[in-house]
Amino acid sequence: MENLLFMLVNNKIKPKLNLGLLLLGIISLAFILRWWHFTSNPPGLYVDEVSHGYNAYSILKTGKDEYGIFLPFFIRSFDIYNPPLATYTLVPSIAIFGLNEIAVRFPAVLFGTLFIPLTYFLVAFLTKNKKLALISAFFSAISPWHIHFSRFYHEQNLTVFFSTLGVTLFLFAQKKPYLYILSAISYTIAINFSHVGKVFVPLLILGSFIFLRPKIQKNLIYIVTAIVIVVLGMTPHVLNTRESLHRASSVSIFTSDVGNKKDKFLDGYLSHFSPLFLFIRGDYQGRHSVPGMGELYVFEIPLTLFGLYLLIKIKEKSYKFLLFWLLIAPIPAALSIPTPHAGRDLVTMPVWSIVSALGLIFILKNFRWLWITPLIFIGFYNFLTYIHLYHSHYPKEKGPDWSDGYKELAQYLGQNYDNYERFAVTRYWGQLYIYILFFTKFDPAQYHAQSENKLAFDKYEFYLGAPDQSDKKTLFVSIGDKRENIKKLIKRNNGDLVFVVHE
Amino acid sequence: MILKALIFISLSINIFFQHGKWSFDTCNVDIAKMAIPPVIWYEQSIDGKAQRTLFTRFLHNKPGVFMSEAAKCYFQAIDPFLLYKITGPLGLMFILYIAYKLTDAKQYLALLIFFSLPFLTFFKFPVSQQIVLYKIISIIGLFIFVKNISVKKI
Repeated sequence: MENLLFMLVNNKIKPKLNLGLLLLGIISLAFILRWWHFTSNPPGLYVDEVSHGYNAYSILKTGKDEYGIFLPFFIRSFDIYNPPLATYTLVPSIAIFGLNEIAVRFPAVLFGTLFIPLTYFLVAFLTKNKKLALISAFFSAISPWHIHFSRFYHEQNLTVFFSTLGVTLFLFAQKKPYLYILSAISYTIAINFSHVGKVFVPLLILGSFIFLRPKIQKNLIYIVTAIVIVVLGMTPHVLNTRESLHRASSVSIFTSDVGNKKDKFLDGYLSHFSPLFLFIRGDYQGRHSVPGMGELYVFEIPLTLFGLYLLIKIKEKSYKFLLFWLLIAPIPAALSIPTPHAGRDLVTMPVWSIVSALGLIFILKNFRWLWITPLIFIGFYNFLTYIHLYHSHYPKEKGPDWSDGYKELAQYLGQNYDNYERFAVTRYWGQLYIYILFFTKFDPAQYHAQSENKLAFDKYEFYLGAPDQSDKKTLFVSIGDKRENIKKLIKRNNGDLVFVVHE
Repeated sequence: MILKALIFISLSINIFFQHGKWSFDTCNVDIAKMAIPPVIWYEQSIDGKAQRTLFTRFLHNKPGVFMSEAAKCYFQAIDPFLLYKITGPLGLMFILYIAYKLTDAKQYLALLIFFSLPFLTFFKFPVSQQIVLYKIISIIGLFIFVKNISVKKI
């Protein structure tokens, strides 16, 4: 065991370059990979992004959400009752950039990039090994899993950031105890960002106390204050269980007809450790993974194997904490359907990066260049393939998953607002009202009074089947191109027809 | 010693007679070969003719697609839930334990052979016999575990 620890610490290759400079290079790479064409790929804002965006816009303009509720703790959007911070975080961004794709996705890119130095500091303080920290940061920077979730606004990305920040501050606090309070604030933010956070973060806090051993008696005041902060942060969820558990009840294995619950849980849990999910196929949902790619690279297979071996082998508490993190992270995802779920399991991603880094160090030490040369070649080929698949294939293949074409439709309707008395819009593809609100920047104050009726607002009506007849001058939005008086055809990136706008 | 033997025998029986429901898609070398032309056609039609042919072939080629299909078959055969259903929770743990012990002992050739075994079904080794093989591996893992534990710990 000592030999292994010695191996990790006593790397023979002395760093010729400044570690800080290398870290800066890795952060720059991470930023470029997350920023490059982030408004157009993923190809279109999906419905949750638009909903967060419009609710934030409404709060910015009126102090109330889409339903006219003043500074709500739960965001009712689509009756899901999301934790609030995912929406509130967009308020300053929308104030700066306006209501558009940049405003909605910029926080994801920002926190996705900031996550890289955070990984470095977490690993450096946890393991006291700066080289391991640097390699972990590199693996996070190029991680297909993290790159994708940092290019669109998904609450899990921020849950991962703030829970990792919570752990890092918890570690720092052993030298500066007042940081326990900041750590608690960070954990509380993570809890209030997503439904996963409500299950995962309390378990992570428990693990922090068990494995990272804070000096409780010495820092009693700070630790008690920190606990009070977390408890206060969770109180609204406890007091409003109906809203808090609303989403959980709709996707939970306990309320769904999934047969044997124990088997379903184990199936879901183990599916997040399946090599098919991790390295080959990824998540089945088009929004979560790139076709032909896993959540990690194929060249990471031997790295994760040896990395996991080290994680089990090394008996230090800090490594056991990482193992604990890896084992508890899939629990929220396993309690729900469908599985495996790259979004709900994103909280595992930081540990996989560290595991890969551990594995690389192990291989460097034990196999040297015999393995490293092909590994570098395969790694480079994997990375090139990923970039190609992500930027060339993904927008064409997964347009429907990203509501590709809805923006063009909403903007067209907005441009023709004064020319018609009524707009009859098909509901064939789902909830279009929120896209029209978002892209026409519809006045939230005017919308609040009409918000309960999701089948009509202002001049817009939403229909399934055939639209109602009316004497008003109407512009129809339908599917299928066999129409008369066609004004516009709305197509996806790959050329597929989505909407026909006609009179 | 007798206690160790009793533990080994009872757990071996438990592992060997696990019979959970599982599914296994037919996946072998012939199916992987058949998948090559349609996959390449699909990928290349997405790339379009504007992209340089050499670059398209570099990213989407026969060896690449074949290896990808082979990997799907391989990883299907070591799916953790499949192993759990075949050998039970203890069986799964002992399979992982063998991999751990081989790495620990730096028996890399044995480790390579161990990780090559799931490829057998890819080369049309009967799935029913592969299942028995998993159970045997798991029992070997159990044997090593029982052998290594000290009586004091029990």
